[in-house]
Amino acid sequence: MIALAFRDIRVRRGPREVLRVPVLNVAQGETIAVLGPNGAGKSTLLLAGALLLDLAAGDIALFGERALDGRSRLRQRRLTATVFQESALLDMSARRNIETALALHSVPRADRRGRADQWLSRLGVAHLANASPHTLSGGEAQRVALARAFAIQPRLLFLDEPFSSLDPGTRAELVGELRSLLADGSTAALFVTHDLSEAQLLADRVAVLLDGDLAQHDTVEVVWGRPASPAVAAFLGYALVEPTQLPAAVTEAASIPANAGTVAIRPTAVRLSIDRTEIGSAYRGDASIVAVQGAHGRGRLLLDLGEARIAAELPVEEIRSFKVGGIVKIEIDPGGLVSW
Amino acid sequence: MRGFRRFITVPMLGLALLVPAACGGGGGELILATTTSTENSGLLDALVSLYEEESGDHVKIIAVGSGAAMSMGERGDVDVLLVHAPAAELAFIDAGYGVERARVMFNDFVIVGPADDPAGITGSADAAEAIEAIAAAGARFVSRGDDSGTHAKEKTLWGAAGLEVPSADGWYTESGQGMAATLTIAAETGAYTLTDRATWLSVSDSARLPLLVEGDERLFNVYHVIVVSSERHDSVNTAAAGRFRAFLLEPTTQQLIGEFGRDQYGEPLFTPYASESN
Amino acid sequence: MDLIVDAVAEAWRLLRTGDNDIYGITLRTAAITGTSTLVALLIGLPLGLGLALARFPGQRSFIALANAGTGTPPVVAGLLVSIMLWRSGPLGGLGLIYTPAAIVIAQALIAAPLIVAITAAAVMALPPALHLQIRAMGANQRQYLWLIAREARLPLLVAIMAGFGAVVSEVGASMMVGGNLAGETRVLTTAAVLEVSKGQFGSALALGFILLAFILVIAAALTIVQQRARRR
Repeated sequence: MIALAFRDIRVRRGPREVLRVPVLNVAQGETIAVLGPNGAGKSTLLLAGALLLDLAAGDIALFGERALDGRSRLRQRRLTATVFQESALLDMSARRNIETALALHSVPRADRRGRADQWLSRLGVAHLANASPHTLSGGEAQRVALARAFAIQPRLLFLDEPFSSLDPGTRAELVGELRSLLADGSTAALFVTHDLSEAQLLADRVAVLLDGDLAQHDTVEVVWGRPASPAVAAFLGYALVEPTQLPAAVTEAASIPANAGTVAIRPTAVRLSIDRTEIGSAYRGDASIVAVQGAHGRGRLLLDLGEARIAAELPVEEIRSFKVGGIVKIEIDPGGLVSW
Repeated sequence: MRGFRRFITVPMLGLALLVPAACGGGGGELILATTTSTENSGLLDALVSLYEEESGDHVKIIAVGSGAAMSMGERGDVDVLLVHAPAAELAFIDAGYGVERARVMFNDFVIVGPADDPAGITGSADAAEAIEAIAAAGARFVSRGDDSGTHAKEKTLWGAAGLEVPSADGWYTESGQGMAATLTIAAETGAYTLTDRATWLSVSDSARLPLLVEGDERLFNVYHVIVVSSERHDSVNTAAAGRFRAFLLEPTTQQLIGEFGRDQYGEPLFTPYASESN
Repeated sequence: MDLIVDAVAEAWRLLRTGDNDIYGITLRTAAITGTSTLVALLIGLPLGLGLALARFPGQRSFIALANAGTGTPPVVAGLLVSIMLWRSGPLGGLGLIYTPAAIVIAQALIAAPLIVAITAAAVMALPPALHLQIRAMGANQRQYLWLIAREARLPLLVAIMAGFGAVVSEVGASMMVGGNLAGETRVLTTAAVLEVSKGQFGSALALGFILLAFILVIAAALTIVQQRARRR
């Protein structure tokens, strides 16, 4: 059974069409990550799926039932829960936030407190049951928001960049928390994120949105390993070059067809050559350093190889001592090249 | 506008709450328009409570200036008037707005002013001369300036002195307020003013300027009761208005008028002066 | 200065002896201002919510209108209501002029724009995600409105205080539509004005003190409610 089905949907904001998706399905118990740059339409897709905005065209079905206007929408919405980036907690204690959500889902009054406390415990914030939202840190607030979402036992969960405004340590913790909450497969999830590693950790499948279009929708491995278009590859951090710019040995090793227009190189496929041990059909050569970059604990080297500008993703410690203009020996795993 | 209709129903409910109290309207209710000086003296409260007992009518006393009282009468918003502006009253009757005018009582106006009397009018019995002297001296004078009976009297005095009513800059000012407020202003600014004796007697000492001019028969202040005509507006309660008018002219009422104020001020504030035909 | 001493003495005397119908006037003031505030709330809260939440053409103009309404001179409101309610006016047949109901009408019309403007501003200041979140939690329209109003409860209490403040201190409109009739429509403010017009400043001040005391009690009560609401 398909938990959430998008068919030929179009969403307009004013005169502009901001989203168009011919087909997208979320299976029961499946987790789908929606990736894309800012303004690609990710949140729009999420809001449409959560029945929180109106479509210009197309259909959405939840658990096989088409979403129409009015009362049936409300009923369908009650099968879902949503967590936003800025935890939209109500101005009341954490426990009462959850109890309110339970009340809206017609849970009997007598059961509400127990369930609320149970879920606060599960998310590790039982001690904050009586705390007002103003006193909670970002991480604590999102834990309460997650507790509130799961307490109603949703069959479909929407998360709109829930961890974006948290510091990396808290963010990593909560990703782990969410992973274990979704592990039993009883809840399908559609979550929007910028963060590729979050997607890799949490998602069964990934949908990449670029400029309002669904550019690729597949398992994590496929999207990662074989991006559907240069644009997707660029978004994923691949370096785009023309085949002629690369040394011939590289394109041969990777069996790039003669008529390929663009080649993309996965940044993790470029490694520093420590010793001269043969590893498969890796290409080995010299590249000159153009820039030494880093962010989020990961380092990036921009290199000139032949006439191509490529990137290598490496641990920061390995590249700390490198200087611009220096020469390094690199290896490229030919499996990390994609062409169109 | 999807949800907007919802937001209208509660406000409508709120407005509907306001309507029920309409039970007070209709029969046996008499609206009396009178002057602030009459009301402030307290005489009207005494007379009206007696009248309500006797007649069973419910009287609402609206105290505004004589001018305002008559314009309310023109619109039929009041049933009976008790005013003291003879010229305007006659015009009111002639235009057909009022019927059955009758004299009720009188008292007099007096001119009061600062103790040092810069215009030198103390003891004069000629009001027109006195007011001319005030103008000549450029001494401060506060007028009611509100179309009241007192204001009307003041204007006739200017006419009698052969002068235009001065413009309100410099020594001549208009308060636009009731008599007691005007007396306070006069006291605070050391100015002259024309006042009815009753109000002058009833204000507190701080506003009691010395009495300087009295006795001129032009200072005569007579009050009339007028029933508002029901020809133009049939909402006027002429029956009750007629009853009230008759009550004012009764000997017992007249006697009450003649005694009122004696205990408090040592002299009565008004003199009975009933006359049917006027 | 002795005027103030006189006034305090007079206030005490009035309260002790119950002279001049002081208790009647005070109770009537409480009843009338309470009713006006309540009516203004019933009109103003939903309109304020609607103004903030619904989408319709000319929305901004209405908001400007509400904001402008907060500055309406009470005497203008009083005049307009009088013209409506006089016998010569369109609603003259209702016989409402010079009754407490007329004062309630005029005062409610003075206070309502205040409540509309403050409510609308308060709701518009809520974070946009909140609206989506409440709907996402499965609230129907009624539940949504209730939760939104609850989120904005602190500024709404301010709106109530402002509305009450506007009506309890009002005198011009109350005088015009009520007529200041002894025993019927005389309230603390109009009674005080009458005393001033009679030159009786001592009793005017006394009435003023009693009015201030009344306002203080109500303001204190509303503040306690507000501070409690903060914690909940």
